Amino acid sequence: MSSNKIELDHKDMVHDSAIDYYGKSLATASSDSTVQISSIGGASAPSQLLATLSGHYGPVWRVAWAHPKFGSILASCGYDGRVVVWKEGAAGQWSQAHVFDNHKSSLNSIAWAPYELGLCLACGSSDGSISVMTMRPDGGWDSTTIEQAHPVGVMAVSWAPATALGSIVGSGELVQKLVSGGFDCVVKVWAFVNGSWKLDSVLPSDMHTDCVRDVSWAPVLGLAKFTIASASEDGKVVIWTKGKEGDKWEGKVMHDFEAPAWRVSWSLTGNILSVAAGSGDITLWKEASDGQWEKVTKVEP
Amino acid sequence: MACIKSAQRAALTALAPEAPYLAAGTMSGAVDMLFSASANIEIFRLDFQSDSPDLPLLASAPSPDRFNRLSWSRPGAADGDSFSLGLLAGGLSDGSVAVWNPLSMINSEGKAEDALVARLEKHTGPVCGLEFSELTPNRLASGAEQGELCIWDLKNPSEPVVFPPLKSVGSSAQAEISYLTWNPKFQHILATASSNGMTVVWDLRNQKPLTSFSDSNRTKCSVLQWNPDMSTQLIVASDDDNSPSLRVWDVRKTISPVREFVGHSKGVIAMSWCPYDSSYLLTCSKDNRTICWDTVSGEIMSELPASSNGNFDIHWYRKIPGVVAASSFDVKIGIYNLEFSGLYAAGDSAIGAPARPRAPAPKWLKCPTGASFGFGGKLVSFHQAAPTQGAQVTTSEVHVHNLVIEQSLVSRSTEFEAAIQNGDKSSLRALCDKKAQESLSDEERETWGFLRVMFEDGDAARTKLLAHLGFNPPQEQTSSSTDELNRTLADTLNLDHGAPTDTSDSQFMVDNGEDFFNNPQPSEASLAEESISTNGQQIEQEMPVNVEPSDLSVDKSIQHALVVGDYKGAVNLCLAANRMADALVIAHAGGSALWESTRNQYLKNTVSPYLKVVSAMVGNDLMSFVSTWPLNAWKETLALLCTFARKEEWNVLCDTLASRLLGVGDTLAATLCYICAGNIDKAVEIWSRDLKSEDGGKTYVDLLQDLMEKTITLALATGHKSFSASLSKLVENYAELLASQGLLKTAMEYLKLLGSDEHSHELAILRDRIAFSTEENHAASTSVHAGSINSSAYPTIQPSYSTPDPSQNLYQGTSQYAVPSNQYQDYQQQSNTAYGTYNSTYSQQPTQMFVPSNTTPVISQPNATPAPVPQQPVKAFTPTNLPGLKNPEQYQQPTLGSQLYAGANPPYTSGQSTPYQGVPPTTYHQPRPPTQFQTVPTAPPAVSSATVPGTTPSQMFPGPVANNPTSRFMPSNNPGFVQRPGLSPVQPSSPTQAQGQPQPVVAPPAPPATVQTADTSKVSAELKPVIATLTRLFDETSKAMGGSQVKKREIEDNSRKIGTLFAKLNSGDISPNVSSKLIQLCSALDSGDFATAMHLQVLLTTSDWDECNFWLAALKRMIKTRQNFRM
Repeated sequence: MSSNKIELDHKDMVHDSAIDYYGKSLATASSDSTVQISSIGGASAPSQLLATLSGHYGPVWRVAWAHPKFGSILASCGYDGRVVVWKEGAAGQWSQAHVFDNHKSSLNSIAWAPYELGLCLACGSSDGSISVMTMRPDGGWDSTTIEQAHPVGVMAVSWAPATALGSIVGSGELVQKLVSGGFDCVVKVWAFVNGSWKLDSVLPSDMHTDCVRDVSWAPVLGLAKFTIASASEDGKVVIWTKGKEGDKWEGKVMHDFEAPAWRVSWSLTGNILSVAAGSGDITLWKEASDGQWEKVTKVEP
Repeated sequence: MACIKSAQRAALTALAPEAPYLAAGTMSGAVDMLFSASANIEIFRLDFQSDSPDLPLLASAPSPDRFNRLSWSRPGAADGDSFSLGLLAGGLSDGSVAVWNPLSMINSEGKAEDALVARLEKHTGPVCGLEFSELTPNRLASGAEQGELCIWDLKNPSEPVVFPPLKSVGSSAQAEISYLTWNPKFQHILATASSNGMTVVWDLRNQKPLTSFSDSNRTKCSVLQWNPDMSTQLIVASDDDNSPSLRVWDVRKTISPVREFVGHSKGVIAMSWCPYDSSYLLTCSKDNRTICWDTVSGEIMSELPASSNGNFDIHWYRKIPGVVAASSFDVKIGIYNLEFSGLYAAGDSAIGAPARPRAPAPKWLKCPTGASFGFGGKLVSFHQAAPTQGAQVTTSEVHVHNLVIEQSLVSRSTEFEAAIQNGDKSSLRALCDKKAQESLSDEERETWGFLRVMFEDGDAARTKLLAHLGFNPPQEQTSSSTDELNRTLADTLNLDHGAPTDTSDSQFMVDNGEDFFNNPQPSEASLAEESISTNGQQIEQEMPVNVEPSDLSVDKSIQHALVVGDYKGAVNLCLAANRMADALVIAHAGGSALWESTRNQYLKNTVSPYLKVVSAMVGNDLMSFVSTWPLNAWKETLALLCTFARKEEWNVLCDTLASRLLGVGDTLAATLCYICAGNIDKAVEIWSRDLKSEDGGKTYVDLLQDLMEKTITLALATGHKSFSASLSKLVENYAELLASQGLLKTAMEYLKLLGSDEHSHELAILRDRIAFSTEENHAASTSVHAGSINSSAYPTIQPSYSTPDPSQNLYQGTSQYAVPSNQYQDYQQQSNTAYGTYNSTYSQQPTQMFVPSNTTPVISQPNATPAPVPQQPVKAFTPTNLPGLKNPEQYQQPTLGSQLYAGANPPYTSGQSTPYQGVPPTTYHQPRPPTQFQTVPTAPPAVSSATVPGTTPSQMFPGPVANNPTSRFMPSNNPGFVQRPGLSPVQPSSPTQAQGQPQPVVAPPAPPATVQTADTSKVSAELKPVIATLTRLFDETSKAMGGSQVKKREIEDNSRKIGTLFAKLNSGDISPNVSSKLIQLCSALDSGDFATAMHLQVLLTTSDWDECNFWLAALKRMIKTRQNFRM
């Protein structure tokens, strides 16, 4: 496993990083109120800073790349309660395509919907609500809100894959669901039904005893089940699975890191999970044949 | 900043340290809504999952008196599991300290009088200072009037232990303790605030004050708190309305405060320092404001909603950051979410100040580390960097990693790719062998064994498949069957000596023309006639011998039926008498329809299983056989298909067999048959089921790799270029998996297998993603720009893949699987053999052309003809050099073209041919035990009977009409009948020959002569050019008509009829007139004069119809085809 250090110009802590669709660009969010975009480079070319985006009035918590189908678009959210949608015009020239300032509290998480659902963004806020903003064909945005999703604050949101389980591409209806985690130690699944968001499932609430830091819905690759990973302040990472529509979600503790588990991220094929815990302990996990999750490797800087 | 939940209580509160509970004790001096003076201790649940705005009450218990302070210890305060929620202590107005067990209160589900576990009575006045130690949970500190400070050990609540009280000396000795708090880091340090304005820091180990301080005004101290992050800092506040500020002291420098917070306008009565982030401090004041301070900058950050009466108690919830509990004089306990926007200062929001940050974000929102995946096996991670010396702000380090997690996938994929690199069959066979050896289960081993057979060259594949199924044709039996066939042919040919009778002629008119065209076998009709005569003579000879009356009766009936030409009646009599052999022989003489019905009836009535195999073979109905044969004998069925199925039927038959097997759940057998059928989609569909179940202790990735290896191998074997949608989806998933391991080029190779047909939208997406990801751009900014342009147009514009592809031909060069041993191929090879004959014979023509024509030998021929008559009938039906189905030389050449252009054909000499060599019936290719094999002679293979030539004139009538007036054609029939007397001189010699040899009853006829099989060794020199020219004509017309199925039947018909002509020429059974016209006709053909050739053909039709009618129509057809097809 080879790695390259990316030289950034952030003056404070980095809180999120994201690689673009093609694996060529990297976006980072920082407490210095900026988002920076760098080229990842490779063996022949070193990485270089391409742009520094200033627009937030406080720490930036998350960045998310949109699908390239809609252009080179990046979203960021921060402590100032704002979401900025950035768009790249000429090479390296970024501008604010849109700004959402509906929330008066910190926006802790954003996630783009699968591209099959259009250009659609979900945001989780400290005021306990989740907003879902969808761009209309005329360029305007529609917004729907899940009020009091987690009354004491939302920490993370993640979208379900758009394709139903086991369906041939294009033959089934699109899935429009979200998973959220909050300070109330609970993981919830929401479904968009008849024009509004409804609570689809409350995952068993005794799995986490401290606030949920991150949730991530796994891509579907052949497996006939939905999979969600959640990470908690109590150090536990839980893997939730559901076989088919109508089944109940089952949770299993993948591992107890005995230190806050900050982030979980699925690989693009959905069979590898990365966990960031403690002060920088990053490990990769994979489900073994007996259904138990085992550590594949520890990622060394 | 909303109130999330509330309860209607005027009470002091305490929050459980590690559980979602809140305790409330009736406030001293408060009057509740019922104006009663009762005092209670209650526990509420902090249920943030419920939408109800009310806090649910769990337990309630009476209290001896009202509360001045409430404290909830950590678990471990008391021994035993019954105290798992710790202890709850209340400082009462009567000077006592009451201690409850909260677990007992909650479990009692009602009034919990028994939950009171201790009552500590040492103080004389209201207990306002009370707190459990967080570091040593069993210790409780209490302070009251007279400056008494007590430390209690409640490890055993029923027997509390109190340490000697601590007192201070001097003027402050008598001051009332108003508040106390334990140091967050040192368990022996305690701070107290007193009404005389003195703050004392106690050293419990030495049981004396460590230090003390007060402000210059000696204002009464009401509340104080340790800084959670700095163990030497205290913040002190006073409820004196004249001193509303907050002062931060450092106990090491007590001369003056470190900092002062100014904001309240009246005395402060409660405060709480955030345990998560020491930047935040909450204070309650008599001015009815509850302020959240930024302790770093000293500024006001935010406020709780203002109420008509202020809050008197406030606590941070230790389990959820940003959640606080506030008690209000409005008789309300409220739970608030502070929501930390930091966007507006409290005082600025009214005037619409511009949005700008006023305070840093709380610590609990700052994520210090994370990682996320990117395309192409990338992972980006960040973590806090090691703090630099003197740096105030920590930065982070970011790394991008190239991951290879699925090591086995990468190695297996690379290994598999090397094996199939060139598509070489030998390496692919080696791959299959290796896979079979490594297989853990019999199913896998069998599957790879079948896949290996698919890579055998040409015709060897079926032989190998037979061997693989456990069937090997016995060579000894083949030889034995050949000998048997020789005897059968000899016996049959002897029947030629029989003479037709007038009665037999009457049958000619009965058969319809359809039979004639489907099975034109005039020579066999002649055989039938002779057979009748022979049987009659045999019966007559046997009459003098002693015969039982019953046999005599049946024999007479059969003879009577035969005499009148009632073949069907005779057959029925034989069947009734259970004389199967006789029935079959007579049926054969009675015509093809009667023969087939009798044969079918015989096969239907038999109970031997192998005869059902014969039934399928002779009926050419393998589909019915496949559809009805027991499935547990599927290997025999497949072996039968290997032996007899034609190439174009092979796939359909295997597919049908596989479908039946799948229907009964035999997935392994079905898969193997789908492999034989080349049906990748069905085979992969079955294999894919393993992916769902993840059985066998393998992960999804391993199962997918197994599946892909079998799929690609089968695709290489069959040369499939188009996959179904589901199969494309599977390859797409696999390519995505490879891409996630960084094997982008390999992933693209697999995607190219799917061809250009756009099965799925996602497939195009993945292709584009891989292509763009592997694109090498010199300028990074250009890369971003290109990505932007490309992405904007996506997916309406399909970008061309700019990736250089060194292994572009990775999957090319795969050859189509050639199904050998089909009858059409045999026919083609036989045709080619005849072509070889033509070449050999034609090369002699120049020599013959220089030989002058001698009329003398022609004249002498009539005299010589009677002499060889006894031998010629035997020779006439001998097929020459017919290749056997098992001849490896023949079947190793999959196509006729390769054989034609190989140029390595051995020179053909008809004289070298051996009679009867290599002509086993196809029956004998069915593997069988020897005992079963011996019964085969009793069931001879079916050879279609010929229709009587009597129908020829009526059927051929339209042809001549097209060229001649009717009046001209009618006289031509008369000369035909005139020719009839010309045959009578031959008849006298026939009885002599018949009497000379005894005739066997069972006599299956020889197969009909064809262009390829006819013996032309005895053809006269002057007629050999006719053989050569007609052979070439046949080959050319066959080549021209080689395409469709209907044409094949026509080619076969031409072959049989011209073959018959060749046989006649060989036996000298052609009249001089016909011979001369044939010579002229062939000369015209050689010179390309088709008009003359057609003219001569018409002359033959008009003058020699009776002699030439059988083959003349075919000849005419061939001339026309050749004329239309300009080669």
